[in-house]
Amino acid sequence: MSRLEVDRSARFDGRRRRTVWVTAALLVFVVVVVVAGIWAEGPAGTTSLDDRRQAPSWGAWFGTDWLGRDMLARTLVGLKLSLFVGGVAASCSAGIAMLMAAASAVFGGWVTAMVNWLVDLFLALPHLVLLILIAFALGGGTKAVVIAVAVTHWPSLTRVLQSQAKVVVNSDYVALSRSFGRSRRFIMGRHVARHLVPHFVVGLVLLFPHAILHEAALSFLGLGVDPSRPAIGILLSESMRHLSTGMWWMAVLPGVCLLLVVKTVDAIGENLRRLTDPRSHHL
Amino acid sequence: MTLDQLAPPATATATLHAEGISFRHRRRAPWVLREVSLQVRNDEVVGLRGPSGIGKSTVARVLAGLSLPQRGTVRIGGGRDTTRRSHPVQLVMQHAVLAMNPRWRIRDVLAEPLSDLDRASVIDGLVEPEWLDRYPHEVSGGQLQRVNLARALLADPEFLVADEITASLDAITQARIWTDLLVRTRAGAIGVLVISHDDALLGRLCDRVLDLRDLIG
Amino acid sequence: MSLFEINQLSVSFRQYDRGLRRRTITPVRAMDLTVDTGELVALVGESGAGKTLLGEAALGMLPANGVDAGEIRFRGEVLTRARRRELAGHEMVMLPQSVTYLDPTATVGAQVRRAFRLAGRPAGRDDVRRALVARDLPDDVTRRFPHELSGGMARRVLLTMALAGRPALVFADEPTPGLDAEAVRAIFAELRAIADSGCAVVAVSHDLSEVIGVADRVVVCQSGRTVETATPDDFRNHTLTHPYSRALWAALPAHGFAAEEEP
Repeated sequence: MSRLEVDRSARFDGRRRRTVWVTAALLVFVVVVVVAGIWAEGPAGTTSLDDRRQAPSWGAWFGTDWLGRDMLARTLVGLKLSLFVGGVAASCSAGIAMLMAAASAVFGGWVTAMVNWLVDLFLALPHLVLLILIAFALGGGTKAVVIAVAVTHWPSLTRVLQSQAKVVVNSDYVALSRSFGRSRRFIMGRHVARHLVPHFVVGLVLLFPHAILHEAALSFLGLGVDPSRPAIGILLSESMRHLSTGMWWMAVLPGVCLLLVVKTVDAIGENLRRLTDPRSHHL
Repeated sequence: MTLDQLAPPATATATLHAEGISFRHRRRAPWVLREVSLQVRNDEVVGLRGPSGIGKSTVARVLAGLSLPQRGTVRIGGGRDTTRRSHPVQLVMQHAVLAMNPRWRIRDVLAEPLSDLDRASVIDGLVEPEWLDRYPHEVSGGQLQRVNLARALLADPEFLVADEITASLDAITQARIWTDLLVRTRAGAIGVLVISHDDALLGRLCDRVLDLRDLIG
Repeated sequence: MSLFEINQLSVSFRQYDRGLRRRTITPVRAMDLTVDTGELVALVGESGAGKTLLGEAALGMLPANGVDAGEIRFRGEVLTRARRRELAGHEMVMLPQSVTYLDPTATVGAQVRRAFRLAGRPAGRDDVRRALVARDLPDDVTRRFPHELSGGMARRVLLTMALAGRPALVFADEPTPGLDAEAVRAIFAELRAIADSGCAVVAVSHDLSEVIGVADRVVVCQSGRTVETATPDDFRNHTLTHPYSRALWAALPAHGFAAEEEP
């Protein structure tokens, strides 16, 4: 056995442990952002007319806006809002996907055909246009954003869950379960649902970044959360008016932070997917 | 114990009849089975042979109620009771690992059949207690096939269909599993249909051997 | 010096058990095997004794978390993992087991020609047809699609493809899964013919009674160790030395069907 091969195996050896640690660290980061966002509610609303239009400095890391409000505090509150709205919307969306997939697996027949038709319909429509239309029709506001994001994001996860459920329903062990006298409810609960749970959790977390970005997009367009709240989309939209006067920090820093949070949540989802993959016990 | 020392079979009290069963996967698909008829009494061990791809495994699935034939019937003449919850014909498949939910422990796998049978007496000597907390991929192929067999017996069947259950096992493991199976089926008056491509094995185990090519009516 | 030698091969895997608990399993502990040009060596024994892993280790095909130790020599050269992967597919090949290895959308002729090209021996249409006909396949087979072949024909097509690069060493892992006696005999006869044509062949099988009809030597394994290297006559004349080999023979349905290890 050569030296090289020992090292190669050692590298694979620690992979799972490292994935768990990285995921935990990323989760802690998200929690810190949320806690900081709650704490920053006060400072975010405090105007200080003496400190208007300050560029980033040691006193104010992210600078201040045209009313002298601290941009760091406003960004943190915005991230908290985004995570909250994104989380609620992604959960609703994943819930819809689970219901659709379960209904299709339990009833089959015309229910499956119906679910397939709906999935095809939503996948065929342009995502963002539909999102804007729904938010507009509901008159904007936080509730409209949540509903719009929730009803547009379920189709792809539904497909994944449906195909996973189908694999289980058609398996030999489910056929045998029936021959042991087990009921449809038992099979759905103990065989199918148990198999779907990890896929559901991973799908939910991976929906999260989409939901956050689309929330920001809707807020940017003025169809999102209450404009008096410092959501990231609203911060970005406000900054448009001030970019020409050289206040770059109002757009760049909140934007980068949004990107960072979205990538973090995405990385958590990817890691969870890897950890729940049954083949990963080799790694 | 060797096979020759087994107790003589009880007299037959039930017969499994398959009458003119035909099966295909979809409408208009070619027939996999056409008009197959056979009988197995619960005091005998019957072998089923035939070349690969002729539908031996489909016969097994139809007899055990896992697949419904488009034509023909499977019935039991003179069975024990009619209120039972598990199917009176139980199938033991070749690939035990596919016959079990990979996320279940062996303890849960064995608890799945619904029957009023006293569990301990059937599993005794077939399944070791230390396997119970493991997952199917954590025991060897031979051990998992014993679990597979134990589960089928726990369903309290009147007939057992064994579809190539030792085809991927070595000769010693094969001989042990068959001895353990026949001891229990003889004691419980369970009829056995053995499906195998190995004529020597069928000759060793069976009271009579059928060729699927001769059963097509 | 033999063409191919394995000395004291061991294979272990580090894997996660449940959660973060790790364990090392060593399914192959000490395996020895030698095979020379023109020989067919059968590897028989306990299910799960690591017979398949021996072939995977020899071709450098172990999963990423597998570690092997011991010595693997080919033409006298000790092979590193990287060197094994270089030779795999050219000098050393594994016979594919399943018909699903054929591309269902391409004709047999096109697939076999591609195999020849990949093996570094580009061949024309006629060369390909001749190679296929030489394996008892009908003349029009080059124009057929895989679904138009019987199981036996598909296997011979795969064989032609695997042997396109004129390998020196051929591994066959369980070449006769669940087949009836006639088909089993035909496959073992093919393997014998490959050996006679100048290859070294290693066949992993649990069809002991059939494989001794064609093998030059039989290597018996139990729990990751090779316990005995015997000739087919040792089996027939009851001159086996290791108790496990004797038990394996006695357990065959055609002999005693004895379930006990030491008769």
